[in-house]
Amino acid sequence: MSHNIVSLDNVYANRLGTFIKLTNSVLPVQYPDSFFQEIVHSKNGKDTFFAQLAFYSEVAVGAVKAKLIANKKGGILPHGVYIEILAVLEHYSGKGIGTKMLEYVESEAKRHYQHALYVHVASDNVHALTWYKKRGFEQDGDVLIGYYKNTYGSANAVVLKKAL
Amino acid sequence: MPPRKFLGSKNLTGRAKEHSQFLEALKLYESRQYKKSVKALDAILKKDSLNVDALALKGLNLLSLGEKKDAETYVKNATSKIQHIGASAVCCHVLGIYMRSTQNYSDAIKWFQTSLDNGSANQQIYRDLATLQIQIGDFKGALASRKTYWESFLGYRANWTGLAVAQDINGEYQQAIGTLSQFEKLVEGKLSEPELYEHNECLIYKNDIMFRAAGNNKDKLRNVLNHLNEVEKDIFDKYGVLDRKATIYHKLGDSKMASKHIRMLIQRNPDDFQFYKRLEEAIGIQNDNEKKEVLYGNLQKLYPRSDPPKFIPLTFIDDRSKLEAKFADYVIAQLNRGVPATFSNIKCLYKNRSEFISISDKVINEFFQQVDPYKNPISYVWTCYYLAQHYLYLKDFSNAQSFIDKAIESTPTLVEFYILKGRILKAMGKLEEATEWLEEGRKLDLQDRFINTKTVKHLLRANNVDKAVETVSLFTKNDDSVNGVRDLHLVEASWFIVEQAEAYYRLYLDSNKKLHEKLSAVKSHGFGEEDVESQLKDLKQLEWSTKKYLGLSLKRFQAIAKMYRQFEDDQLDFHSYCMRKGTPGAYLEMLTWGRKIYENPMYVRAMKGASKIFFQLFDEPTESKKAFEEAFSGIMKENTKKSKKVNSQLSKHREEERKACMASSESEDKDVFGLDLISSENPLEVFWNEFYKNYSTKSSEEVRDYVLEFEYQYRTGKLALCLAALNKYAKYHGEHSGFTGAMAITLLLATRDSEPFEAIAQKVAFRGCESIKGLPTAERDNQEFDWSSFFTEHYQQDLPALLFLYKHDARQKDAYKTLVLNQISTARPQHQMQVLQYQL
Repeated sequence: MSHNIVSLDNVYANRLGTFIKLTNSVLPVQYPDSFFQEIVHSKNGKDTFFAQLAFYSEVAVGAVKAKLIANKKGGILPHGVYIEILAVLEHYSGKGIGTKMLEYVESEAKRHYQHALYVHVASDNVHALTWYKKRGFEQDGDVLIGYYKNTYGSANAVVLKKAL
Repeated sequence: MPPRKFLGSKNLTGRAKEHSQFLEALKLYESRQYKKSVKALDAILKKDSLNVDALALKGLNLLSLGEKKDAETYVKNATSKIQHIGASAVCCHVLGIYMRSTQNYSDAIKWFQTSLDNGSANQQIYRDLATLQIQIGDFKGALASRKTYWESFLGYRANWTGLAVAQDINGEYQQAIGTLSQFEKLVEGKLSEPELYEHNECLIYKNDIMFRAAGNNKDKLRNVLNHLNEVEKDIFDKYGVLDRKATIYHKLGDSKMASKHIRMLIQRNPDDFQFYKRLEEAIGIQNDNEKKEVLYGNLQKLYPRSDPPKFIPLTFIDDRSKLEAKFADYVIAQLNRGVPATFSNIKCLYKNRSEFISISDKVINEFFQQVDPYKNPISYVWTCYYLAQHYLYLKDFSNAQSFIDKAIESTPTLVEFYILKGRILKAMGKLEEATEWLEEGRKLDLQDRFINTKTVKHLLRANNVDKAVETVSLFTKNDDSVNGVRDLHLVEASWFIVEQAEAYYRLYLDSNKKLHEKLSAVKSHGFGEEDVESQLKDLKQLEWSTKKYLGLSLKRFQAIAKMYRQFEDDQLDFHSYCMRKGTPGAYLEMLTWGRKIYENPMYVRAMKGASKIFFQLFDEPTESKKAFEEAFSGIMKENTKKSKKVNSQLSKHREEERKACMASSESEDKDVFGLDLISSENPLEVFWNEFYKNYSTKSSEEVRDYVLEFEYQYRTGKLALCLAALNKYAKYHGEHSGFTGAMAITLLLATRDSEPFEAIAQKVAFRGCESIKGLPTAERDNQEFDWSSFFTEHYQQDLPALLFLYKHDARQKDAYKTLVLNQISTARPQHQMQVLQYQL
């Protein structure tokens, strides 16, 4: 057993199922299969993803996926690192697992010389909003109406930004 | 097979020129130039087609070249000629090697022996002879051969060890000890470093023999102890020395020294349960619960991280409140740590001390109430897991489900939960649904072989063979086959093969039922309004599946039997190898294992599975078989044109099916679907040769399955042997056990005039029945007599016995059916379903 009760590990192709299971158990949004496949089989190597599984006492309980958005001309999205998924099983919240995953994304962002983290959060997800704000994120722009398509929760989202 | 040196060629038959030609051929054989050797032999045979030496050697050459059939012809030719003219020593030796290579060991022994009798000076033969004699269990002969060989080659340790082992297995302990001591003296002070290990093994072995020979004689035991003290410094296995010393002190009644040594053993490995039991016995407190409690209390302090000191008190403490507290300590500590096997650890208590079921129910449910899933999710989910197993054990499926669902909801990434969910569903008879959950769990981690295997097993239980093969093939080597079936045969994965065999058998039963229903529907009502072609296709497909599944099932069962024959055969090399490596202890273990090979549960399971098919093939009346075939081909003839079209459609798939079912390469086995196997003329004989012979001659009497023996002999018509089986069964399982009654009734009814058995056999059996207490033999011919009530009044009602009667007594089928239904009413739904679907 590792010394630390919380640990992170890469998402290997064989364990993609665990990643999908975690995402679908925690988040109300339904993602297409390709969204997960690109973690392990990135299409023509264009995009860069930072994905990890988080383990609590050797049990996979959290998942994170972030995308590097490089400085491109005419891009709609601002450049930086965009957190697509950051999920922890309900019973394991408050144990520093999310923080650890966020730290991982931050360090990857710095490694790639990026100065901003972005994340979309459903506007009714108070828990997540407070969580991010507590960790240095601030709302960036107005509420996006109807941002989420396949979701059980609110379709509206806000963009949060953290400058590094 | 490495070529041997041949000596003593002076006795060869034939003239001088041929003689030298033959020697040339022999040399070529020895240097593995088989083709050239054959050429040389052909030159001899051209001139003298009766030259037995040449014939025999050619046979051996051909065998080495893989031409088994031709080889056999030549060897047969040679042996038949030898009958009249005798043979040279070399010729006999050649034939012996041939026989050994074809696994015909008793003949090989004969030929080797003859070779020696005919003046072969080749002493090596004695070594080969000895290995073969041990292989077939002729220990006496082996001892003689070992001795002769040893006399000729005294310079090798292997020969001394070999002789000692031969003496040992013949019960000549003192001689064996003497042999080993003599050699010890010879090598004293001359051992080099690499020989030390071998030497240590032989020292232990000698002590083993002394210990076994000593029995309970105290003087002798003291001798053994002295010897052990003497050689201790040269023995590598310190653990073994301690163990042996502890045993000897215990046998000598020296409880102080015995317990001292066992405590040392415990210190070395505090997790081995047997030492604790032995410690109790050594101190002499195994029946004193109070003292035991104190003992284990102390041990717990000494070894706080070990399981046995905490667990063992649960097996003897009587006071309920104390028991409850101890149980809570033991289990809750594990649940807090999140030990997955917590329930497995205490499951034996449920079985042996039923009060634990209620204790566990109370303690764990109370614990569950106060576990906060947010604070301690790990112990929360493992407690759910525990409770799910607890309720599954109690057959309370709804509670079991609700707890496992809670666990999955909380932590959906733990594969154990999916396995348990599948198990619960399986017990409920929902086999398909179970496979879906297993599949869900499997996807979490594709490289987890354990869940893969479990999924495959569930799929096979649900008769989904194709999916099972597809899944299992993810972990096999599929180089030159379309799936992993061949590889699984190669690596002898018996769990898969036997499960597949059973799945095929169930599929056979299903499709056979459907086939007969469909056929009789068509026969009585015609094809009706529906599409004739598709119905013909259905019929043909069903007919094919029925055959195929039955054949494949038998084929797989047979593969298991083959494996076990191979295991037995594999011992051959070790009779000499272990002597050379100096590992007599491990060698003797192998011999013990070898004697019990055919009692292995896996072998028995495959054999019984196969017996069902063979017996059914034997029992099936030819008329009904014929009637079916006529009806079937009649329908096909009426629709010749369409039938042909359907045939060509179906045969397209045949080749794919063939590839998917192949268990070995095409050249090794042409009967991929086992169709030849099921159409054999004499199913009982095939069963005897392939499965039953080894079991009935090599399994020990206490564990033998006498019901199977009864069933087999019943069909061969040997009622006297049925009677013997019945008596043996009654001896080991009691006069009132279900099968004793079931067999007695069946045997008695078989002696009626109307039954097709030999009159003499019937008489013998009837006389035997008369000596069975309580069996109303006078009612034999009374058509009205109610045997089923007689059975229920006098014998234990167990399900297999009832099913046995159901199958054998046609007249009272319905009565037995009712009894069977009663019997299964309290069983798990899964078992109920199995009986209803496949047995009734």
